[in-house]
Amino acid sequence: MVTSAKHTDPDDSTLFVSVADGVSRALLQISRAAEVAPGLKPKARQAQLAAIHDISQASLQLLEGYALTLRLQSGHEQPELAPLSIKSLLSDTAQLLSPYAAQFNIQLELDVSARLEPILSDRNILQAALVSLGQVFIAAHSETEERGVVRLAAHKTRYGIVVGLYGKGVEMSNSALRRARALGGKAFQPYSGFVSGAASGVFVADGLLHALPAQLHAARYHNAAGLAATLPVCQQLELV
Amino acid sequence: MHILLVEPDTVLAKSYVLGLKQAGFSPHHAVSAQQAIQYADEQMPDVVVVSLEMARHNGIEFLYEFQSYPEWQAIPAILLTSLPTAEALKDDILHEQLNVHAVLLRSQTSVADLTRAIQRVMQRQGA
Repeated sequence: MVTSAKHTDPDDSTLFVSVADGVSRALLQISRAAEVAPGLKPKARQAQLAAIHDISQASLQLLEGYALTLRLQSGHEQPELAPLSIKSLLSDTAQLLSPYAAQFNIQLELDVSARLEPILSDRNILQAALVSLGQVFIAAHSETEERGVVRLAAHKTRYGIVVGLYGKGVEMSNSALRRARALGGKAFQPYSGFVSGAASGVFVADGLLHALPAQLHAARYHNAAGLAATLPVCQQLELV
Repeated sequence: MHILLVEPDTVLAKSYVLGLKQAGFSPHHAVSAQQAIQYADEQMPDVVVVSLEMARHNGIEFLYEFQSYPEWQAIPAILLTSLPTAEALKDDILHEQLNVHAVLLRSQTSVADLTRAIQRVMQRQGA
């Protein structure tokens, strides 16, 4: 289930190039939205201003995730593993992603059972990874004919709790993920079967998850394809 | 004047559509090559503006498909790209085989620039 492919190396300048491409796309969206806003009626102008705000916020989240990846890689920051309620984490992550999803006309659904055991992880790192990954999923699904719903989900397997993002209309595979990792920051469309842009959020998530340690892999859940990480259940609390 | 905009980036497309409407055009946004073909089937566009970079089928593939229909061969196209190296695309073959009248670098093309490019193409077409 878990791919043995090498994760994105945050020390590699290709990650920087990939993030730069992702932020460039956001700046382009902001610039064009700002250009047309003055000529619009008040309601439409307000919507453009909201788009500018939401896209800026998403870019900041991506940049923060990238900076965290570098700090973890350089050893300036260490993961602080602690028991973590997956429901609470995913609820907060969904709140962060919802405005961005709305800009792409994507409905973000949360699918997590309240009865899932706590996991042992670092909340900030895992949340940053899911936000980065979520941004790519939202953009990718808005590019399909079946655009509509992206699901942020967690479920239990015998390997642990699988946390990830899922959707219909795109196919995910570990081999495509491996190819994308090899092309990230080198090709303009490293994950062209999935999304038209740089897919930088995938590679930032990759770097963050590696620090936990966990690994991004292709997954399926409720007839939808996705990318997910499998995280260990917190054994200590399981016994309580 | 019907403009078919084939652009995978929904947020960017929203601004292009608003700007083109302000300029008096009737733009329609298609998020993919498949959606664009379906739309053109219902309403023949006067100009097609297509993104080179798309997931699955890129803009060139779309134009080859589009131009394979005899009734759409005369429709001029404008190619939008984020690749600075797309200079290489300013080749006669694009114009001769795919009826591409302009290749525009996204980062250097404002909505107003795109509007002017469409107007120039329409003038050349004698519209």
